Amino acid sequence: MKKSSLLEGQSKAGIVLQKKVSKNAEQKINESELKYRFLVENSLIGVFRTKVNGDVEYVNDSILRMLEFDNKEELLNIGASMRYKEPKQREELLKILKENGKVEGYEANIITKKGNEHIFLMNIVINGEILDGTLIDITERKKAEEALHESEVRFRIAAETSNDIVYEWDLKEEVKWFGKIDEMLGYAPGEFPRTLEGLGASVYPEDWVRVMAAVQAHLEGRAPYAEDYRVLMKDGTFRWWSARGAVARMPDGKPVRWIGTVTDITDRRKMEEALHESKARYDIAMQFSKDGLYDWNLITNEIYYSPGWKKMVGYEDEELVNDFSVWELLTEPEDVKNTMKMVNELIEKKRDRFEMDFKMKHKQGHWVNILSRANALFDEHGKAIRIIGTHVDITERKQAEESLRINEERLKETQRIAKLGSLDWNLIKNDLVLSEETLNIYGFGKEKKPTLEEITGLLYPDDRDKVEKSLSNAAAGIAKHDMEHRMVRPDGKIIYVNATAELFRDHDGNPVRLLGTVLDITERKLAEEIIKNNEKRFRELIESLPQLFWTCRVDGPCDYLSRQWVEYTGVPEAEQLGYRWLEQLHPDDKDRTVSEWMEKVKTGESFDIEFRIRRNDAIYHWFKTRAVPMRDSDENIIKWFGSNTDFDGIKKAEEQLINFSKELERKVEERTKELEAFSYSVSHDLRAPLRHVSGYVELLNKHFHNELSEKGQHYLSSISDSVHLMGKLIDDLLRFSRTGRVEMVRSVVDMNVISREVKDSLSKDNPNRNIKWILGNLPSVYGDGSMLNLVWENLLNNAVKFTGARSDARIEIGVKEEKKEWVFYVKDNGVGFDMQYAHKLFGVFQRLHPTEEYEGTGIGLANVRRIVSRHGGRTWAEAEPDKGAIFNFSIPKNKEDS
Amino acid sequence: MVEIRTILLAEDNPKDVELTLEALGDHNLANNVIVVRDGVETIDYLRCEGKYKLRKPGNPAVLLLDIKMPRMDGLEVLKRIRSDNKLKTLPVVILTSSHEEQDLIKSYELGVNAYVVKPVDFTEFINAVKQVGVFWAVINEVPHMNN
Repeated sequence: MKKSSLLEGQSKAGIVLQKKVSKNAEQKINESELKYRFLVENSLIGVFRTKVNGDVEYVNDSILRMLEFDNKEELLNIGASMRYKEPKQREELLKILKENGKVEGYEANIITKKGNEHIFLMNIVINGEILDGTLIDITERKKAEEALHESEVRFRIAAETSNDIVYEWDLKEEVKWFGKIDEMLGYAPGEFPRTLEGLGASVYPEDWVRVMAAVQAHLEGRAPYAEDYRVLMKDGTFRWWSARGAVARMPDGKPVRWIGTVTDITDRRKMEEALHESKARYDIAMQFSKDGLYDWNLITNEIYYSPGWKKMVGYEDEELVNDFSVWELLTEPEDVKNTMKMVNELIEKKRDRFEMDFKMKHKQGHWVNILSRANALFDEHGKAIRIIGTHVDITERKQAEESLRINEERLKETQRIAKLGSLDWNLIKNDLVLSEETLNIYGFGKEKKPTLEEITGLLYPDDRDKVEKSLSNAAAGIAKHDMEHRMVRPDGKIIYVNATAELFRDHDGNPVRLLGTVLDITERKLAEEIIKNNEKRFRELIESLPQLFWTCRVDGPCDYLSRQWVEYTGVPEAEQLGYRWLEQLHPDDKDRTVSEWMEKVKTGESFDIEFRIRRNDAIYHWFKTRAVPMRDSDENIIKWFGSNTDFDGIKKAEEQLINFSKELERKVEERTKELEAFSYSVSHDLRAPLRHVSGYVELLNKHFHNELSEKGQHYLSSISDSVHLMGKLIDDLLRFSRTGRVEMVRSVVDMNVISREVKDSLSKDNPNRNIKWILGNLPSVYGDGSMLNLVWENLLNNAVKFTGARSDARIEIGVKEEKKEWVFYVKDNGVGFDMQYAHKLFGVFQRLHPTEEYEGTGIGLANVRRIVSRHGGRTWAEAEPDKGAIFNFSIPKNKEDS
Repeated sequence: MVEIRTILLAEDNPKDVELTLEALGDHNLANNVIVVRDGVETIDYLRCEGKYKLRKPGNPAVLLLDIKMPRMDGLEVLKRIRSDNKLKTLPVVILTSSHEEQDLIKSYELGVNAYVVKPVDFTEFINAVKQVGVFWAVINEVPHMNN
């Protein structure tokens, strides 16, 4: 228990009082008693006098006050009136009193009348039977002391648990440390010096010099004390301390004590160094980075652009000043406006990040895309003091982005054109992304972001199970999803899709996403349906026709035989495929068919073959087979199609026809031979007797002319003439039959040449005739030269003959060109004929003039008609009696017509 | 002096024979005409066989040959003649009524020397025969045959 000076004073006062009373100077007592009584009465100290038994003789007001009694009358026995909180205190007190005869500075816990607890400092002296005592209420002080103690304890605890040390220097040598000083510096508890000298030895010499100087300065009142210095740990490494301190002075200013704190700032120091280093690095970075860096001090409005920043827009460091205006000038006004807006938001903490891309003008004149990122630094009041940012040249990136955008657009377009959509299902985030085309296919709007449920909801009910099963297999990574199925779009339309999905894993094999495609195959499916239907109808059609149908593969073997074929042959299709159908063919036709078939398959042309196929009753029928290759769009053969038509009847008829034809030809041949023989006979056998008659008549004439009368001679002459005529008739008949019989020998015949030859011959034969010949330019025709010669012979001969009466005979030969034929004519100014009988002109042996006037057998024109007719032409004539005649005949121009 | 040699006439028809001889007679050719009635006789004569075994050997100057004859016709005779070494140089003139092209062709193919069609008109007939006779029997030269 600390002694207080107050206490000392109080004891002295008590002793003084006691001495005064015992010296017993009554008179003086009165005066001094009064004085003292006044003192005592009004003292703040409680004074009391009691008997040993406790009966109160005297208490001052303070006692009453202290003990919280209302009046003195209540306080009769101090013992009874002083209730001790702890009964043993009273016992102790009495014990001390008994032993020592006095109590000095005893602190007692008393309960006042009102029940409050107070702490009194008691001093009591025994004087025989009297107890004199004083009470001082030290409750407050005690509380303060306790509080102080408490806070001291707390402080101590705090000090001991924190890194801060509190120290107290008595301005001489003693240094008290509060806190874990020893532990901090690696010493055993209490080992660290508690002296100034000891401390000094533990501090870096150069630092200590500085510290002491600072201490001195503070003591002299020149400056507050705050110093950082290094302290050695026990192991020789040092810590940085930050020391604060202040001197406590007396009222007169004399320094009494120094109290301060020491904080271990080693970590902070390290940080600072690190920061310094990083600042250095930062500065270097600033200097040398290709990225543009800028450092804008918002307070001074100074801005620093790194060389990289300037280089980005094509300038060297010295070419641009470090001023805000530089950026403004190089950037588009619109971008400046937007950027500053964002900067303000950053400053006002409305945003915590700043990122902006804009265009800046390069020194060379083109635009550079810049990405500017910045952060703001705030002071402790939350005010923005600095903005530090970077510029990155993203021109390439921008271009890449543009390319990407274009590519994405193209992809979208491609997907749209191809009607192929894509899906991306991020399994981790359970996020499903559909491409625009996918949405289009499903019939959702562009902006829609459908859920998985919405999509599976579109599945066609009948297909749902199989699709969901396959999808879950895909999601589990068991198998890839690849399936055609139907869906019902939100608008009700049913579509066919080909959907795929595949699972993708990360490096660790964990499923990450399911990527898939959707292809709208509705059109194809419909087309397939149509084709299938067509095929069905086609097949039905084929099966309904009597023909046999088949198809063969490109290389030759048969892969389909129609129902008819199977029914006809009575052999199942399966047993006839490949090349086994050949077994149904007639043995004689097999080889031929095979070789022709293989040959045509190589060349790829359509062809016909005929062969016999065995019917189910073993009878062979002739079939006309037609094979046609089916080609694809590249003209490659993909299949052979064929049909067999039963033309057995026809074949047989054909054979019969051929036979008949042969027979007919044979007969004709026979007839012709007969005819020829007949002609031969005529020419030979008929002539002979004729010759004889002629001969004998002549002989008669020769040898017996003189013995014959005139009549006789005349008879002979007539016979002779008749014989002559008969000969001619026979000849003509023969010739006529020959013109009909003989084969035409066709060639190009120059009509000019032969007509002129005939004319020349006639001229020679009729030297005495005065004939004016007018010869037109005749073309060449295609026909039998000798026969045409005969034509000219006859016609020109006639012309000459029938102009015989004219002295100015005129015969004209010419031609008229018609579209498809040449019309030749012989025009004469002879005797002409009556058109009435024109139809008889070309008859055999028909004459329109008597023989006496104009000789002839009448076979000539018949020959002409026959010959011209055989050339495909016509003959006709016009005339007027005595006005001449025109004989025409036509020969076709086309050799196919002649 | 011009030697008039033999003319062999192969003709079955007597009237034709008579008329031919008449024609030949005008030029004194008739005396040297031997008449045979068909192909067989013709060959027999030429080969000195049959009833002509004892004839005076030697080929005639010319054979006037008719085509249509019984037993063996003219073309057959011609064939044999031309295949017989001893006879193949014999001039043969076919004298016939036929001017069928086939007969002409065949005759020439068989190696006939001339082909004359008997005209119906007697005057002409005489002319033709005369010319033939004179030419072949008088003017024409033939190689001498070794018997």
